[in-house]
Order: sequence, then C-alpha cells, then structure tokens
Amino acid sequence: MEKKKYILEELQELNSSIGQVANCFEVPIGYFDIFYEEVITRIKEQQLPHRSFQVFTVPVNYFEDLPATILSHVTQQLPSSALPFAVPENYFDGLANNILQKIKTNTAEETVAEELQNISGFVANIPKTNVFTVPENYFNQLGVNIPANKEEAKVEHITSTKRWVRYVAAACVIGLIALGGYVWLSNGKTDSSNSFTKAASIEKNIAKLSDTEIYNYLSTHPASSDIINVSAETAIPDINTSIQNMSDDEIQQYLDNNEEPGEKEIKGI
Amino acid sequence: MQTDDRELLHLFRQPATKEKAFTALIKKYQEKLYWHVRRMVIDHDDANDVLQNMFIKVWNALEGFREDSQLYTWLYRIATNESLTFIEQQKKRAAVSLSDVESGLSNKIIADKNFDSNKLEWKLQLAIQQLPEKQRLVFNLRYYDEMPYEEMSRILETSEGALKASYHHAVKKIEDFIKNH
Repeated sequence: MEKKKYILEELQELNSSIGQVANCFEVPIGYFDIFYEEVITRIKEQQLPHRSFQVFTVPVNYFEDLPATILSHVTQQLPSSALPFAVPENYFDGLANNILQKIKTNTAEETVAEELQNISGFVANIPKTNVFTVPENYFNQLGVNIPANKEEAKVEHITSTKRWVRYVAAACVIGLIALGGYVWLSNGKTDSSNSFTKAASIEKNIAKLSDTEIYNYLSTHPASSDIINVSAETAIPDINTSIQNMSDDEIQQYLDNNEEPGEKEIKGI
Repeated sequence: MQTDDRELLHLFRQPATKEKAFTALIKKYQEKLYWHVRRMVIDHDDANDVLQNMFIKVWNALEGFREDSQLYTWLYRIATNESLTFIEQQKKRAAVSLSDVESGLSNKIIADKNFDSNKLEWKLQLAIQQLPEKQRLVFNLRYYDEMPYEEMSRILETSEGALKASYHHAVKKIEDFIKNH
C-alpha cells in the first residue's frame, strides 16, 4: 500500500491523469477469499500419482481382510461331498499312540493257543491231554547200547598162488561180462534200428490201404498166427535145457574146444 | 546254543567223560524226543526202537556236530528223519500204499487199551493220522511241542510261511474229520 500511494503521488507530480482513472476490472465477490484454497487444492491434485482412482474409496482394512474374505467364499463354493466326514473328538490327539500300540501288537509273537483259536475254535477246545502211556519207569531205565569200539580188522595174508588164482578168476568174469555186453548191445542196436525201419515202412504201407482191405486181411490172417510165427522166428533156445540134454562127454568136448587162454595154467595150479 | 549243551559237548569230546556226557544228553532230551517219535509211529515199542536207533546215530555223529546250530534242533531233525525212515520201511515191508499205512496207524490207536471213541482227545489222534506225513509233523510240533515256526523251519528245512500254511490246513482237516466222524 505504501508503494501504491507513492506511485499515485508520483503520477500527480507529473500532472498525469492516469492516476485518477478508476479500476475498470472487477473480480467476483469473495474471489480472493477462496482463491488460495482453490490453488492449493489443484496443487495437491497434481502431486497425487493416480488422479483417476482418487475418486474411489475402499472400506477400512479392506485389503488386509481380502484374502480371508476370498478363502471364505471359495470354501463355501466347494462340493458338499467333501464335508460330510467327521472324526471323533480328539481323534488326532491319540492317533500316534494308537498306531504304535497296533504295531507292538502285530509284531508280538502270536501264542500257539491264540493261533489255534484263530484257525479253529473247535480244535482249540479239545482237551490237550496225552492219551498215550509208557511203561512204568521207562524213562528212568532208557539206555542206549553204545556200540563197542571197532576191533582192528584181521589182515589175512594171501600167498602168491592164491593171488594169481584170484586175478585170473576176476579177469575171466570181467571178460565174460564185457563179451556178453558187447554181443547184447550190438544185437540190440541192429534189432532196434531194423525194427524202427520195419515199423516205419509197415505204417506207410498200412496208411495206403483202405479200411475194407485192412478188415479183409485181418479176418483172413488172425493176429495170433503172426505172434506165433514171430515167436518161432525169434525164440532164443533155452541154454539150461540144451545143457541138460548134453552128455558129460559132450560138455567136456565143448570145453576142450573152447578153452580160454591161460586156462591150462589155472588147471595146473 | 544253551550253555549246558556246550558243556555236554565239551565233556563228550573228552574220552574220560564221553559216556557220562552222553548219558546226561539222553536224560535231558529223551522225553521230548520220545513223544515226538511216539506221535509219529504211535506204538511204544516202535517208538523205543526208533529212539534207540536215533541216539546211536547221535553217538556216532556227535563228534562232528557243528556248534553253529542248536543241539536240540539237530536232535529233533535226526528223530524226525528216523521216524519217517521207520514209517517208510513199514510201508515197504508190508508192500502197502500210504493210505494203508495210515489206516494201520489208526488201527494201532484203536487197539490201545485206553482207547475211547467217545472222547475228543482220542478222536483227535485218529484225525491226526489222516493227515499227510508233513502236515502231521507240523501239527504235532506246533500243537504239542508248541515249537516256534522259526525253529521248526530249521528242523524241517521248510519256509516259515509254508509251515504256517501247512498247520492251518492241518487244523482245518482235523476239524472236518472230527465233525464228520
């Protein structure tokens, strides 16, 4: 105000009429009373980052409670089948002990009586009395005849003559067994191979025949006659009968003609 | 192995105490082994023969007994084998089938002077004779001797599971037999 007064005084000294002109501009009534409030409000608005959200408000502690609120809604929307199960009161408090008790029970050896009861209560109820009896004082006098110590075996010294006889006899027996085995095996092989070949060829030929031909053959050739023929062909002469029919001289003659080497020496001994 | 058995074996290996130790061994196990054998062969005289033969075999083999197994398990095994051999010999001697031998054993039971067909304990004996040999053995060892399966497994050289199954079948067969006779 001091400056304005000074300026007006200065204009009057210069004889200027400017200083007498009234202010032609007007401001709304009370404009300046509220102007600063408007300015400050706008400044504050410019300083806020998201001016557009400013208009919305949320309830107090909305975001703090939001997770719980959502979970609550989700739980309510779960299928109803998940909910009907219930556990007895304090079930989980005693669960560990119950399991341990069960483990101990299972690992404990089942007694014979319990086992039998489980398998068959009927058999378990049969009186377990011993029906057998033993002679009086049997267990008091039960003894075992302990085998006596083995006596030293007698060693019989054989003479060189006896030894030779035994060696030769053993050699003869072995020779006879070997010869018999060789003859039997060679005959067996031949027979078996022949019989297999024969059987195969017979089967082939029979397969070619008709049922009527086979029937006619069998009706005119009884099976027994085949067996008789075969038996007659393959019959082995009875050695015992043959020997019985021979005279002593004939046997002696046969033995002389079929003398084994070294037999004379044995006879000489 | 029990300490007593160790001591018995030690004494048996000393020539001076051999017979004394063997006598003590017989006295210690004779009753258990006798009843095991008797239940298999039924007749007392047969059981006596089997038991004596069995102990003679023990005398001959005890020197070489390995102490890593229990002595009484070993004795049971010998007694079992000896009983089965005896039954086998009877079969051959009589030239009869297994069922005939079983009925023979049943006849021995019936021939007992104390036999009472009305008493369940005698019926039980008849029922036991209907079992196959192995099941009969398992039943006797478990029912009468109350032997744990683990030991039975060592004697009969069979798995514990198989023995349990065998015992189960045996009990069921016995129940059926008694109910139907």
